[in-house]
Amino acid sequence: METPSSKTGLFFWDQGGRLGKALDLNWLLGKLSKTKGISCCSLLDDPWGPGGLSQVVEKVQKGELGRLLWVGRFSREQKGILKEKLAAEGFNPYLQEWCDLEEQGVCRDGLEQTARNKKALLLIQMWLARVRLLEPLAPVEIPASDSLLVIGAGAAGLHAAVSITNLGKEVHLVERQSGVGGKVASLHRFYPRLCDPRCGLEFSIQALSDSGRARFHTLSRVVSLEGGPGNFQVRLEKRPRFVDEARCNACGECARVCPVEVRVSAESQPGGEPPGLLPAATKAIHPSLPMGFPVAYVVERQYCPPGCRECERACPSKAVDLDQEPREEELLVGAVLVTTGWDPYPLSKVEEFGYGLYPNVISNLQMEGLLGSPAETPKEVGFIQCVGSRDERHLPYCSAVCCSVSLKQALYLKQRRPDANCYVFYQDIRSPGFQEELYQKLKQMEGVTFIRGIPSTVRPEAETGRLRLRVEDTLSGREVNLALDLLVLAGGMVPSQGSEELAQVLKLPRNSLGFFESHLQCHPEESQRTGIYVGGCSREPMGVAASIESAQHAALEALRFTGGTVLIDPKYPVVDKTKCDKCKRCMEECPFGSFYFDENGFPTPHLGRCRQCGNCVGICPLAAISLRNLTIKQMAAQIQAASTSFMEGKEPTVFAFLCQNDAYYAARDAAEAGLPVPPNVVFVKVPCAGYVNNALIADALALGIDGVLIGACQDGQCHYVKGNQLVSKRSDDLSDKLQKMMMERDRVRFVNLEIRDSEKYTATVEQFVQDLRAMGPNPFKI
Amino acid sequence: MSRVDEMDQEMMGQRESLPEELLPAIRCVQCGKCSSGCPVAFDTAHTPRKVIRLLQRGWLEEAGRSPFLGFCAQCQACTVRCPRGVQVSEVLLALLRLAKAKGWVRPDGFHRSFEEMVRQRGRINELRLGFMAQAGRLPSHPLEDLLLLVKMLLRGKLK
Repeated sequence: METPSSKTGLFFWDQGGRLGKALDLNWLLGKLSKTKGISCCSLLDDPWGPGGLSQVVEKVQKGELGRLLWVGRFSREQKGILKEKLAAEGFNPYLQEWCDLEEQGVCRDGLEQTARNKKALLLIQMWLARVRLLEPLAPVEIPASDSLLVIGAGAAGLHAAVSITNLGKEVHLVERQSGVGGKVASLHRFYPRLCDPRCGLEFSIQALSDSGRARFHTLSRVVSLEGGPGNFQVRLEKRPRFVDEARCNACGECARVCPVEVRVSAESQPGGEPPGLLPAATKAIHPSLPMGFPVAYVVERQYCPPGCRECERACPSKAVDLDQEPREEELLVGAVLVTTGWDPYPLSKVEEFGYGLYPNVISNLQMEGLLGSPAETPKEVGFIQCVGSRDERHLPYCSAVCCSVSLKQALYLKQRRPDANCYVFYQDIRSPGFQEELYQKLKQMEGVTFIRGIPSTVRPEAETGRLRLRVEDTLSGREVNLALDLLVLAGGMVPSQGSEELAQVLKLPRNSLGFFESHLQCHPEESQRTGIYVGGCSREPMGVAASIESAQHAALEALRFTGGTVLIDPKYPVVDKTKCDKCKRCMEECPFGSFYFDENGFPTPHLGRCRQCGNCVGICPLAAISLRNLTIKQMAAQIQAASTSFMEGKEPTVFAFLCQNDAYYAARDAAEAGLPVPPNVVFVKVPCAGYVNNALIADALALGIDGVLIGACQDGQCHYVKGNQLVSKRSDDLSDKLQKMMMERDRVRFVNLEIRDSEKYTATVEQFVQDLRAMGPNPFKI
Repeated sequence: MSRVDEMDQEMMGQRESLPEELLPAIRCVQCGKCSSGCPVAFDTAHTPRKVIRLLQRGWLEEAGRSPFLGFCAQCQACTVRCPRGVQVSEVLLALLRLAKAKGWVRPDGFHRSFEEMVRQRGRINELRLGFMAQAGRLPSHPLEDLLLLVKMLLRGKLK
């Protein structure tokens, strides 16, 4: 785009006459109209009435104005109206700026009118300096594929896939096991309705098959992921099934002749954990597991006796092919959904309950199998809660479902055997929402005893094989001694086994507990890699319903990277290749991993992956990176304009960089509420405090500004992961340097502000100004 | 405000006054695993969990006077099993020390003699310790004790 003319139009709008009351507008207009480059300077009467903007529109139409600065208080909606109206005349919306004098406190400061006028003039000049350097920008279109990748075809993945296909998009489901269904397929019943989970799974498999828009990649894993949102290139590695999916119709002839028995847990649950309601053993050729979809059988080739080809011979449809090789497949997808789910925490690590030693100590997943099998129901059954969970030695978190699982299992047990006695050993029963109903139901049931206390050891009786258990009922302080037939351990949830490898392939950050990291409150399904979304238990332990909900939410978010094109706001960073020395700091510090090397080895941001926070701008030691709409040059020009002292005498001046998510609002509201913010401060807003480059701070100090304030979010609350920590660390480094230059290190101050911290902002500025007074003027002040 | 409420607030405020070595008690979630595995927990009116609870509430003296302290065998079963990493037996030991310093628990004759003998000679004479511990009160089982004494001397168990 060609550089537009430098003729600038300056328009005041004095809503409610507040500016006119506080300032001498005529003096300002007179002063400004003489400024170089200003071709028009006037006060708008009523821009929102009919014809109110006619003089601006006219001038734009005639090409008399290349850029615009609006002075006054314009709401977001009003800014939108202005942009739209002028864009209709062919005026690039990025060539205008808004200078709000009120939010800078000009109208309420405890200043004389002349001083106020001076500060207002300075602010307008600051913004003019920026306007002069504005460039016409336009959104960038990047192509977007029309399909999505879902990794993990459990309940969450399947339901999300259904939502995706319902919206007319294609979906690729990648599953490590031979069949879909995941953990939920091995459950007997699930709460709250106590229905068979296979029903819902079959329903979604049916919907996916009918849609014709879903492709299942079973026995597969993702081995590489390139590109960015809109067009990820995914490479899959597919293990051979040894059975042709197109020919096999699951008649079972092959399994009848197969001479080998295989334990299911080895195949279906790689952790060696029990398979829930799955058959304990099958032949080496067997239907897909955990659910018989895809319909084709699968051969566990590693168990085949050498030279045996019985199944191949027996197959009436010639579907078995024992010489299949692993193969790779490339996919192009717009976005990726990770629903890799969970694995049970290995209970043998919780030594005190003898899991693995005594046959009648089982996990809750095994209990699902027992309840679903025709085996005799034991009479005296204990449930121990929080085994592994909420335990510093094992998992420090609550696994969220185990309480309701035990309640559900006790209920079902009582239905199967009404004279059974259940004992639930707990420390807290967590049955949020409607699950409380289940708890209350069981509390009132005869033969169900809740004992608030966790046993410490279990000993089997030699003659009967029953389990002896001693526990303190902590509510009464009494000892309870029991002999049980069965002990069910409510084990915790850990991220599924493959998630570590997947995290490496997708470069997806995980938290210290191994779950995929996300902004838990505002964007729970958004991972720290744009275009990759995480749902279900791969993000946090949760129940089936919550998993499905979260995966569907993730699918909804992911859909914006499909559908032909994605529009990227032109606020992305650009690297000045004449300055860059390829130090790669930006690559390391980018919270979203959006940088890659271009063909000449320069770090380049991927426009789709970038979230436009500007942390790369701040981190660059050479200040070689700029956001397109907020360049280092524009910022430096604003700082330079601010360096002419607007305060009388020796009063210090403060330049503040405020994070536009939190700190800016605190400052704006402080001015609006009339809090006594010292007039010594002017601020600019930045997309994230991490944007502030040390070069800018050094600039400000070298130009004679007395103090620099950086307002960032509270620790752990940064929308861009840790921009606030990065800038705080950097400003510490800088203040060390300042000290070496015989400048007070306190001239750079860092403050954490929340969005409603107006009072704190006021107090901080006040303190800062006082301290600066004590320090005396900046030695560089002219 | 009722008297009970006043007392409650007073007690809440006392949490800060726990000495440092007893502070781990505030991490406890009262799951009772310590008592469940304790070999002596139900031999007294208090269990280790309850002693920790008293500490949590700031009832330091009541905790210090707990009969359980005298029974604790320092077997560490509670410490090993605690899901919150409260070093239960260490806390109980620290509490016992504090209780002795404050005079809430008085060492009995045996302990006093033992300590005195170690101080004086640096080692224990078991026979003498036996007599000293028993000094000042009648033996509860004089005949059995005498037989036992003869037996032990014959086998060389006492020197």
